[in-house]
Amino acid sequence: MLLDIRNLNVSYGGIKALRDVSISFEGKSIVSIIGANGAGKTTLLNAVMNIQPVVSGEVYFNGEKITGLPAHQLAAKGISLVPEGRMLFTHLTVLDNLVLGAYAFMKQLGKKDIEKRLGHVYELFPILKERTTQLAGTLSGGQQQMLAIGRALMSEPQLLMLDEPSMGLAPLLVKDILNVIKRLNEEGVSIFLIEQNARAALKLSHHAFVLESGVLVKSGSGAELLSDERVKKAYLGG
Amino acid sequence: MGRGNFTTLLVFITAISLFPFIGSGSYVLTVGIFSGINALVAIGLCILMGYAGQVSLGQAGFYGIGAYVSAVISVKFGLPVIVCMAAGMAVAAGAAVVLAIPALRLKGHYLAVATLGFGEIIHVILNEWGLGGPSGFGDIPNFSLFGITVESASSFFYLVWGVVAVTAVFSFNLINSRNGRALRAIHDSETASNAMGVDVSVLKIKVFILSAVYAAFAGSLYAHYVTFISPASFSLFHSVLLLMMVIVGGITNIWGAIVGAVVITVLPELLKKFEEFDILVYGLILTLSLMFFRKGLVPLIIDKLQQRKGSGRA
Repeated sequence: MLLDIRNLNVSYGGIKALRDVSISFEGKSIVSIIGANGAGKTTLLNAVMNIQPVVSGEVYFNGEKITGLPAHQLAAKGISLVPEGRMLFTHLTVLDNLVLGAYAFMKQLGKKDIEKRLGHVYELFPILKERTTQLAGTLSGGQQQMLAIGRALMSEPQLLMLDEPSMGLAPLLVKDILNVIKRLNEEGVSIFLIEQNARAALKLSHHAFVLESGVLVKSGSGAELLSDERVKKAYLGG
Repeated sequence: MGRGNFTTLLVFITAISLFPFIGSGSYVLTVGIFSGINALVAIGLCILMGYAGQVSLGQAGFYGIGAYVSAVISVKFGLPVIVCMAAGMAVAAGAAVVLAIPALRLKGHYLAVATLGFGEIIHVILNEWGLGGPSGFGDIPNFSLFGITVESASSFFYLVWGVVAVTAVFSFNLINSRNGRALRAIHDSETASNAMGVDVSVLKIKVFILSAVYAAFAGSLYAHYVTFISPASFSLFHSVLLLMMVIVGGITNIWGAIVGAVVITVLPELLKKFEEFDILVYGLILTLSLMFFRKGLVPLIIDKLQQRKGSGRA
């Protein structure tokens, strides 16, 4: 198993945000979680990255227990998170943001390796190449999302976790972003995706889970869930 | 360091080298020396606040530690001054770790209050401990290296500003390094920096140490120049002055820290002709400058130069 989440419980004060959530999947797949606002989707990703402390449960990555390891060590192990709301370094240039994405490997990487990785990101998002010296905070929403994904890719992760990459974007841009995600997966990156845009996410995913009020209520292949009556009613608009 | 910075550095070094020939007299030189000593502390504070986004209202504490440790060791044990200064910096670095570990959990105003408390603790210790107390500690040897004692104001002036220049170059290189980029990143978002693989806690401790070592270095230079120190020079008031220097000069630029330190040090001297009203005029100038040059003097000059360049091209 690439990622193996076992009986994860997370609370905010007295409120349980995740109850006994268990998810596991093999590498090189696209796995998504769909669910309404407040279902605990972001909490789940943040708990895996250990930005959010867990109450109980374990997370294994490539068979190694990673629960409780600090986030900066997880980055070095090959997990990369595109956080909710992008969390760019808005006062830094586009180039600085990208280079920071490879921070965990900076000691091993030479200038040439960094250039090569930058080249790959610019190939996926050509607009970023034109904006290298611009401050990240002055980019448009779509460009910021591209930068957030590009930054996460600079560490050449094995597992890329994306938290609502389509949030606040025009429909055409959403399509672009989803195409990039598909392409990355074809290049061998495993994708763990959280989306409110359930239809688009399910179409893309090999496997998907439905999260409701912190509990996993359903799982199946993307196609299965797309035709599931309950999922249709609740998340796909009938 | 970039080309703009390199040119500025050349201008800066020329100005410093010529200054003792233009501004003769030990009074003028002493003001120049104090400007340099303050600039050294301000550079550290600028990296801490302007780049890493941490607040410190206790910088005079580190400054005082550097001065007292170096002074006391050199008087009581007669060790070479340079060794005493290194000891002062080491103790300040240790104090920075002690302060930084609890301060890691704090941000903004809370961090400001915690560092303010630290500065006050140091001030109280200096006042109460048997090191001369409020009446000070004297007979400190002059700075010397390899048997050469630096006594005259003009040679000490070169020494201090030489240290400032080297520190500035080092700091510019640091800011543009991998760690410098990470410092600016934690200013923007600690969570994202963490997710990118930046060990935010370690980096914050390191930057606290750096600013403390700069301050302690400055403090020990002060002690071995003036040869007499008293706790009054290391009070909260001095921490606030240091903060003013960084802000007036422009908190996002190391040149700003240097310019701010010179302005804040020289200004009260220029205002002496207002006699008992000097402090009023001083306050007024500072208030107005913060109202109209909010980004600070150096960023303002850079903006103006760029505007000119832009209009020249059009």
